[in-house]
Amino acid sequence: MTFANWTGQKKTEIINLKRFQDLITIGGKIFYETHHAPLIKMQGFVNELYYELTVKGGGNVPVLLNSKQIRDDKGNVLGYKSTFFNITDRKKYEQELLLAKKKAEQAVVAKTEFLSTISHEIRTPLNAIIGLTNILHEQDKNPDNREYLNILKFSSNNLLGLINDILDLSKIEAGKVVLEEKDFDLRQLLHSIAGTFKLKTEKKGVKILVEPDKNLPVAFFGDDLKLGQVFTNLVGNAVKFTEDGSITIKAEVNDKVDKTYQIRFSVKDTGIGIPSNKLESIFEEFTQASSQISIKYGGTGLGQAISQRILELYGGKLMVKSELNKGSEFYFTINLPKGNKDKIIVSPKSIEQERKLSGSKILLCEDNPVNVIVVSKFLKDWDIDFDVAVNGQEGLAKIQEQYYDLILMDIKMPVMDGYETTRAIRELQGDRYSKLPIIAMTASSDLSATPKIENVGMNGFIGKPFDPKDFYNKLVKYLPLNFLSDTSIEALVKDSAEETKTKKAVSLERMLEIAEGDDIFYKGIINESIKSFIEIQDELREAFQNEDLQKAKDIEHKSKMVLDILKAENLASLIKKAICALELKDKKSFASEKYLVPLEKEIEAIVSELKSHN
Amino acid sequence: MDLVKRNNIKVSGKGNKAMMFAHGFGCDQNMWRYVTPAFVNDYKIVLFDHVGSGHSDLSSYSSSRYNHLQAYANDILEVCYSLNLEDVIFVGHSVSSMIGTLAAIKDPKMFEKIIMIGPSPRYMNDIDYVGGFSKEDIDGLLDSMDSNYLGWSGAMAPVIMGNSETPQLGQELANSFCASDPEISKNFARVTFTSDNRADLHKLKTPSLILQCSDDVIAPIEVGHYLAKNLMNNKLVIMSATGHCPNLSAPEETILHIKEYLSSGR
Repeated sequence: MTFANWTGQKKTEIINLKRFQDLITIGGKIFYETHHAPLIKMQGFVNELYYELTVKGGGNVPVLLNSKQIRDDKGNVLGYKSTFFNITDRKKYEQELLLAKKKAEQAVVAKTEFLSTISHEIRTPLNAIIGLTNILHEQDKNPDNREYLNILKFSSNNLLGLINDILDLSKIEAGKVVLEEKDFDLRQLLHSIAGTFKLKTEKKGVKILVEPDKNLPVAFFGDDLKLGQVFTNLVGNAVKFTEDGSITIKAEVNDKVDKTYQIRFSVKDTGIGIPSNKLESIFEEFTQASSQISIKYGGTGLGQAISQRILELYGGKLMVKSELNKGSEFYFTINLPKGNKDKIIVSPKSIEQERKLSGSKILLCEDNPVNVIVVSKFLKDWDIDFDVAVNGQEGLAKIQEQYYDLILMDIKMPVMDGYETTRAIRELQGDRYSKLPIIAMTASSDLSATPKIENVGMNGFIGKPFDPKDFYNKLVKYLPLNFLSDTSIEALVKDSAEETKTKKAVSLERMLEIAEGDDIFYKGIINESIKSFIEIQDELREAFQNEDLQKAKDIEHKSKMVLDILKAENLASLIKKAICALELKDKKSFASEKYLVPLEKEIEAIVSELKSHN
Repeated sequence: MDLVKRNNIKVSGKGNKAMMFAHGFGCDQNMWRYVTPAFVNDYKIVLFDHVGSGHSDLSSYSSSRYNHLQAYANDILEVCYSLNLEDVIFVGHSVSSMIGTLAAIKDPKMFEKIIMIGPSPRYMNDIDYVGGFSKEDIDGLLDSMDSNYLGWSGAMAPVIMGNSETPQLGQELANSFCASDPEISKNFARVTFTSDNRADLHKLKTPSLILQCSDDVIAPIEVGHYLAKNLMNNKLVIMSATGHCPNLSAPEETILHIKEYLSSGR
């Protein structure tokens, strides 16, 4: 009777006339056929299945159904005994909850997007502040100003750190962070983390010790960047809160199953310690042990929360033991599989000689004038020759006119953006375009951009604002191997040989200007030039064959004037490269002919060009 | 890739000739448990779960890859290749009838016969076509799956049950054959119930048997007749069984028709 009331029908309309399937919504019918019926056939019962009964005259009644097969003694199915619960109230609550859940999820997405956008907006001006502060800091010798600039540098870097932390956390919370695993050297990772804090600890007189377990293999397979982030945070805190004594970074093997090591990592200090009632809260976002901490030591209180989230990706948990005024120990245990030590990518050793970069030629594609100023300053300091293009289209044209060793590519540019330009460059015919290193410069910290950077064929990226050291290392990583490469030398020679019609090996414009219409003088000066080129050629051959670096440099210096006047850029570049190669040579690999043959070809081209005007 | 793990492949039987059974939307390979024993002595029985169903490797599932029945068809061919099968007798229930059809169109040599149980080339009605559902019905279904976690997944979570109630099943199996990730379930429902394979029917060269139930909400009798008219070299059998799962509700009748068809030499 109740059932009849729910569905708005008379008892007589249902009993023996309607099957259950006839009384439910279409979705329910499909569910009945695809889930309910098979299930009850196979296991003999179903519990708490949700259906909506259709009400005669419109509307639905939500019900839960329990149903059970009734069998006779022989096991034959006679029918089903079913119980319905009317869950109209419960359904209402459920819908409210679902609605609230959806709203909350949307809010999280909106928050993440907002943070990503706003961070870009904040990082762009911050880039200018940090970049120009660095420049002023190097130029200004006034002690007062330097003090102010130090503060400005410290504060702007802090601000950048804060923005990065907030972004990291929001990315992790949005589930956008995944482990990027590769083979790496764990010991080296720990030592290099300790190394980065050496300056600070030495100043304080605090010892920093690294104690890896003897049983650790060289290589592990994991996300070294994210683990590094955790260690950097833990060691950074230890350094911050320790005035004397020592900081110990330990890695102990707890257990080993097959090739997987269970490792307990710990960072122990002899610092100020944490009161026992604050131990739990330090892992919460934006929480420090006390508000005095933030006043005295700075920091956002995000570091531990980020570390905790990263470790969760590894199934680990950051724990702490601490005694006030005696010190703290932060530790965690994670499983890491053994890696392949042959597959470890050795990052290029930091290079002391800046000479390694000098002599290379870079194209900077960037529309923002402040960024151009900042980047130019560093490139000039490192004696790197460069051109600027203010948008992708201009960049693309320049690349086809001239040989570049590397492109620095802003992503957001008018006319043609960095992605589009890179794609266009990669589509150009020839090795020099497909192998040309392109580094993205982006203020966007949106992680989702990274795959796109790779997809369009960029080799790497530098975040803005950039740390000069980081920028330098990136250039070292992509440049030196390349700019002395055969392709780059071939490209230069090819230019002079193939493009003589459109682009001469030399330009006589300046000569004509200097001669001021005096034909005899003009011819004379051309004659002199021919002679001096032949001389340069002979001297260079001798210098390079004898591997006499000083002599080669002298010739470069001596010939600078004539090369400038005649705009013999390719030849100047080839000489520079040859000198670089000689300077970097280890004796085995410097093949003088490799550089001399293209050099001489270029000189021959110049001489024949000059002769045609004589 | 480990296909055995991906598709939870189970091979049994004493025969050499392969008979491959493909489950439909809502269940997994367990739904063949009353049918396969009849063929175990004469055939090599190949059972599997579609990716996203049963005990397949859920990490292999992505909604972008499995956004068309063809992806499931490609999986079936991969399974056949990896097991070095040939001249396969393919038995598909419900949506797997069309998945098998797509596989046989792509590689006609792989299959000898296709047996379709409750097939439908299109579930939605169209001009001059009765599929059984209006567009609003299907939209309503997908909407209800969106909010209705109780019915479609929550209640499907495995429960502990006494052996006495279902002596034929082990405890661990209770409910699990219909349990699936709600998101996957929803995607599979969308791909299934919005599919339209009518244009593919004439491309199928493999002989087929259509087993049409007498009273099936999912695939009404008009659909069976439509298939019989549009597939070449087919045999239509209207079963006395009702509902959408004769392999469970009327295994004897299902077995009888399959055996008859296989021995008829058509």
